[in-house]
Amino acid sequence: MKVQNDDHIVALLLEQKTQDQGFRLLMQAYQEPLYWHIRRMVFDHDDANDVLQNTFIKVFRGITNFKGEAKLYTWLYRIASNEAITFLNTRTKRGISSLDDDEKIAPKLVADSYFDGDETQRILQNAIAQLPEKQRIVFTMRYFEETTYEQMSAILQTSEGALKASFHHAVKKIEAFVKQLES
Amino acid sequence: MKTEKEKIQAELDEMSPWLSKLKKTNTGDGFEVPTHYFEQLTDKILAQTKTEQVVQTAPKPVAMPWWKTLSMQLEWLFTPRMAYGFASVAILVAAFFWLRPTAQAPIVADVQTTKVVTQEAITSDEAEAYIQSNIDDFDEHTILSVHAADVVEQDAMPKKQPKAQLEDKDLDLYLNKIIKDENLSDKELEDLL
Repeated sequence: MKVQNDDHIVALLLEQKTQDQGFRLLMQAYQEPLYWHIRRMVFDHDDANDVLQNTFIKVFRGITNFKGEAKLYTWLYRIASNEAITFLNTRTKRGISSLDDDEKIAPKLVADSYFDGDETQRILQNAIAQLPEKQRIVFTMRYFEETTYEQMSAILQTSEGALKASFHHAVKKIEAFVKQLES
Repeated sequence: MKTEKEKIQAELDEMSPWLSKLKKTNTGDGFEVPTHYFEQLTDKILAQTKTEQVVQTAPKPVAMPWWKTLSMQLEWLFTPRMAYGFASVAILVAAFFWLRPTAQAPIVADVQTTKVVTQEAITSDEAEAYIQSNIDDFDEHTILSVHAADVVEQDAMPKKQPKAQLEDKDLDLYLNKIIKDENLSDKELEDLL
């Protein structure tokens, strides 16, 4: 059913007359899952908003390049993931040390009006912020979005074995981070 | 057959008791979004893409052949405003070069022949010969003033005096001769001596 919807959306987007209609359907189907996917990577709402808008603008511009070899879902998540990683890399290159910035995530979340988690959730987000980008994206996709390794492999273009290893390392690091806090 | 959620739970049970427990409570990530955020997002992004399309579809300037561009630039140069400007500049430059003093100095200009020679290039004999041959061209006042200057210069020069070899008797003889020749009176003689 979803694949049929995706095909219909792509067909509408490729026609000049129906492009707006197709884009509205695309947004309706994917804006929320892609927003949460990005938000869990970059943490801040404003940053997530910027990255999400860039993602959809790229999709709109590049829809003619979509050949249908991959699923629309896979293509969209790949663009969103790349945009989020590019954003994080740019922020790191600007001289903000990734670790220093991420260490400030916990107090930042307390003050963030768009974070309503409890203390456990704040600790979890703080632990996720310590992870390297690739492990962070694998962990959030598996833990929160419950994505299969097969889907992840198609989106991130990485082998399932490598993804399982990344998830394993990420979980161990989070566990170690929590134990360190408890002690 | 296990669902994906059950598979993930099994993985976490093995790897991390803390995360496994947290996953079971299904608390989520704690993030929120502003009210009506998703309702407005579609229109916002569509407006952005439309703006980009307008910019991209704006008519591009047609590439002209080089000779047309050149002729247009030349036409611009020959507009009355530019022509007056160039003419004024040309006149000013010409006037500057015409009136500019030459680097050679000092010079002597011969009015009749317009032949110009420097003072260093002629000897005094040549100058004298020239003056003699063209004596009519010089007025008396000029000649006299130059001559007077020469006399003053000669008088100002220290002259060598021959050593006097006269003895007293020669001097007496000379004086007696003057007295005899001039028939000087005693008083005149006293004044003279």
